[in-house]
Amino acid sequence: MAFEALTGINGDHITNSWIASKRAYQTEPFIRYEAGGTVYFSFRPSFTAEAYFATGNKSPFGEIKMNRVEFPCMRSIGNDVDATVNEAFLKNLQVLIAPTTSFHDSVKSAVDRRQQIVFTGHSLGGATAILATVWYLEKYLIRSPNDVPEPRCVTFGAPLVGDYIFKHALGREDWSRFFVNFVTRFDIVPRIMLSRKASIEQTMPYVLEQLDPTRVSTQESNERTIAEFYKKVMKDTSTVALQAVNQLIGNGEAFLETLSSFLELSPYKPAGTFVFSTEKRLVAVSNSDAILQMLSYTCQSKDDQELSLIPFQSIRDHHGYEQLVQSIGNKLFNHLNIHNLSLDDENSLNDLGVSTRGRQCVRAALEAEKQRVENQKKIEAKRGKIEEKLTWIEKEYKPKCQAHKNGYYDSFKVSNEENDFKANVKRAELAGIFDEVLGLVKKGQLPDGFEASKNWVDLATSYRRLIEPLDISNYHRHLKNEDTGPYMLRGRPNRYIYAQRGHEHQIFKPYGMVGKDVFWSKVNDFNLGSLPQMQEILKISGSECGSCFWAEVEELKGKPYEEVEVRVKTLEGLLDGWIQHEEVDKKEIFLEGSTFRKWWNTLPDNHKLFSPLRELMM
Amino acid sequence: MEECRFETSELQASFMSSTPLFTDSWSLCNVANCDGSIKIQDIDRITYVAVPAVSMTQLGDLVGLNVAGDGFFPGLASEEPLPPMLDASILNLFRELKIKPGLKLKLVGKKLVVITGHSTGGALAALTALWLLSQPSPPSFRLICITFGSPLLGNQSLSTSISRSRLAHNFCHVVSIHDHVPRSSNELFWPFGTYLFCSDNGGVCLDNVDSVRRMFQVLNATVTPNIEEHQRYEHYVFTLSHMFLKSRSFLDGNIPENSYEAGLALAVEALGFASDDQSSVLVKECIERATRIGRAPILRSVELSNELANVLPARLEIQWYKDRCDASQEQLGYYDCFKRYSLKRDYKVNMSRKRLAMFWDRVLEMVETNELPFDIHLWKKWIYASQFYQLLAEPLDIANFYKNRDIQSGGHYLDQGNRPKRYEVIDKWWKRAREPEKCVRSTYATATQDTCFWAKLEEAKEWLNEVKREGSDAERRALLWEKIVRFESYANKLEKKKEVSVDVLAINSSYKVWVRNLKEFKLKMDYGNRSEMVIDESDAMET
Repeated sequence: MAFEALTGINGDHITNSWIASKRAYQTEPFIRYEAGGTVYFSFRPSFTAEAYFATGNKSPFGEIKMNRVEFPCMRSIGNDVDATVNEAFLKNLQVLIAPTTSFHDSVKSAVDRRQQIVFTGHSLGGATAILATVWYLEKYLIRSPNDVPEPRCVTFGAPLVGDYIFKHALGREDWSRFFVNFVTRFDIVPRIMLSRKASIEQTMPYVLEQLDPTRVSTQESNERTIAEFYKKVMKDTSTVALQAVNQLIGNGEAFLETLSSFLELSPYKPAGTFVFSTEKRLVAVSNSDAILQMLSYTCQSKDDQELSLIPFQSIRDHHGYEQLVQSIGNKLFNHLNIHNLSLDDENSLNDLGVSTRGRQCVRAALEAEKQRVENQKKIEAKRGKIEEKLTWIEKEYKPKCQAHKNGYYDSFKVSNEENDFKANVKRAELAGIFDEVLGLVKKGQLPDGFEASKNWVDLATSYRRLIEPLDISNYHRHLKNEDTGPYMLRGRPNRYIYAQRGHEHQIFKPYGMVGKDVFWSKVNDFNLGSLPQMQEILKISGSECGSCFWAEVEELKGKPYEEVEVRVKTLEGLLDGWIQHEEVDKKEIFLEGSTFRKWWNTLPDNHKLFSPLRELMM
Repeated sequence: MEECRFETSELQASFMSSTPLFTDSWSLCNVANCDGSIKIQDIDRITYVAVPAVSMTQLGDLVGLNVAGDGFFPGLASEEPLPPMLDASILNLFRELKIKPGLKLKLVGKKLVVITGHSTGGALAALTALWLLSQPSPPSFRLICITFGSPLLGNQSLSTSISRSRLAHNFCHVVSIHDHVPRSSNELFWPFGTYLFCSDNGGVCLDNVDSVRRMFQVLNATVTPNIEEHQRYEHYVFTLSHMFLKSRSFLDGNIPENSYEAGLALAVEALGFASDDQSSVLVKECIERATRIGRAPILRSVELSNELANVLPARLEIQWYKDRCDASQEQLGYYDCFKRYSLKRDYKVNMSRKRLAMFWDRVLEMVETNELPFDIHLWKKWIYASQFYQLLAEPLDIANFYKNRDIQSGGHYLDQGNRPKRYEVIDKWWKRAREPEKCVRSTYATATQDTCFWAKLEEAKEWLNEVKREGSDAERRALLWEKIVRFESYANKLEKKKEVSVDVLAINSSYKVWVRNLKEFKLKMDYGNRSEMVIDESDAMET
């Protein structure tokens, strides 16, 4: 079945997920359900306003940043920002995953038996399922990708959970494919988080009550409140969608930027695959931007008569998943992508009531993804050029400088020869290319997966290791440290910081760690002082990264030993590791005329006697 | 030029009219109109200021901005051949309303401010916003001006200077296509900012001045004006702000499969024109013009940083040239080497100088025409790149100027109009950027920090020569002498702070030659004692 090929889940998975989801309505926070060798964890939904907007949360959308230590992958590498999620939803998860809970143990025992796990839930239970899946991915899958089965997450009418970075991080790690979210056409819940707390606060409690499937209906439903709620949610949703599509197409023209700066726009973005359903058809969409447009345009009505019915339908559709699951075998299935999206009538979007304008917005979203892929191709095409320049530096420039016994760092600093000039031009040209890439990354103009591609990270790493010393050399040749400030504080180009982050992410993520923590624990092992002390001393130190070795040497060079003793010892302590990992070129730094060696020789005899570098300097 | 794949004018209008800004502004306009007084109200986080409409006076006479009084709009860049001018009646009303004194106080501490008004109130709102935005220190809040059916405010120069001062994006004018008030038939009046044209079917945004004018012309020719339309904004605001509830499909025949064409067709329809209509062709042209203009600023800036990388070898070449000159036995420095212009090397470096000048002129032109992200002058990358360029290249431009100078005319590099404008802009950028933490220099700077140092020296050279000639009268000589001493002290200070580069200090550089000449002259004239006169530090020449 095409559906299974796309989503990795089959009809049984869906049926069982729904059974499990229903069972969770009135039980413990979660239930475990096993069928066909697969373990289903489903979560209890709740229907109070506090379950959407955590008490005490001051943000306009109830959002909060994820903790990097707990969720090291959930951030952007390029912009170095942590993902944002709904605080109330996150709290639900945190209660579950505390080390002593039965949930924790149940998951662990399933992992131990290598059983496939599906996290699932209806309504807000779906939101918990999404976060539980993320937790599972960070805790189990990433640490032993070959031993732990890939999880699945199936939600029914779940609200949006995280922001653009949340979605981006899932895309980067190739995790988006694990998430399948079913949405009946008018269901209001998947749209709620696109609305501002302020606009729906008043009507929300009543509407949530109506949405609760376990509610014993006692009173006449108040149509006015429901209509009011529907309008507010959809108005905010359409503002968000229109802003997004304008940005996708126009790239932030001045007026739109001014206008947007006056608005509170929901940060939440769809993540994973969304399956929209109508009576006849299922339409799957995997592109987040397109899904956002769909959430807005599938809920419009074609005339006044429909408009009077839709608010009520938007509640009823939240209870329509039972029917959806039962009839799933009889429905047509479409996967919406750029190749099958016609603006004309006859297509799958017709059933969903998406207008011509709406289709155009969906198409714009899909085109934007195509453009991102094109951008990546353009960058890949420059690989040859990059490698050629790196090779020249490595194979021609370095050996020639070594012949002068001072290495390329020092040769470049003096810049006496034609070759130094050539190297400088190459450095500048490479900077241009990498800055271009960084510009694209920062603006989200590359596919999510780009930053995790090993090829690219490795290339950026060799670039950083080989060329950053030249930038440091250049910086100090022009005495920028004096008129601008230390290299690490004022001069280090973002392209290197970015390359460093990408590299660290690649090597540390299987351990569930982030680069900064690894660095500080290493420093801590030197026993040179307490951690806070060390953090103060090394606040702006080049020891943070191997390719900044020279920057640290330059900073230490001018200062009396007593003042920088700890920094000197830290640098020496780290050097061995850098050499092993090829962050620093051993052949270069120990050359007779190198700034490093010359400076080291000026250190007090007492220090040199016990230095780990003593042998190497002999 | 990349193909434009989507049409945004209608999407922009839909976006604008889906926001609370649109509806809340109008509500407050209504209140202000009813009460006939200025209304200020906070809604959510936004402060709305509504200026009431005043019964229509005779519009259409222009007066110069300067008539508005000195320092009224000081921040408005005006390098147009004609001075910016305003509608005289609106300006009068603005004075009579006495908005100025109280408003600033009331907006203290606000973060987001919307200034709005209907009809003449709209024009007054725009004028108020303009006044706030063009103060020497820009307002501490974000400001947007939304007008409804406002008449045009001023002439072409006004419109252009608003765009150049990067203020156009703060204005949005909502205009019914049937309302004749906003589109004066007076050709001297020009629009500025974004226009939201609306009809019963929807709206379209245009922000390109030419397209807006063209649209006015099309509407003047095809749509019968309706006096009552001017009072129907309530209706339009309601209609447009509820559009989101209903799906809008193409009504009229087959929708083009090409996204851009389809968007265009939808936009034309949003203005209430049927596609077989003659005038729809004109409207279409108009929208097309506006949306096809150029590529997105962000992509352009990414592209531009590529080009920056391409011209980098030119800058490096000059750097290399300077280093060679500094190291040379001649001890002349690159300023004087280049002024002498005798070697093939000098010729090559001149090519680099020209190439860079062309590049930077182009960048700054693009900045002025709002083709780049409007905050680009705040991007570190561009601040530093421009600064590096200027430090290295301006001395060569000065050398080039004095090498080719017509001595008879006697004009100096620093005289009005001689210094390339790019340097003035870069100066501004740099000044606006955060001051680097002051470090004490241990060695001379790689490039002299005052990029006009050589130009100042060239003037000082002339002063000294004139004083030496002894021709002029005593008063003039005293004046010159004072200038000379002041420059001397200034140069000393730079040298002491090590803010000059070694090329200035090279034994045979024109600066050192001048210093020796001055010393000789002092000895000869026994000026020695007199030159001891104390110069106030603060008096020293501005850097």
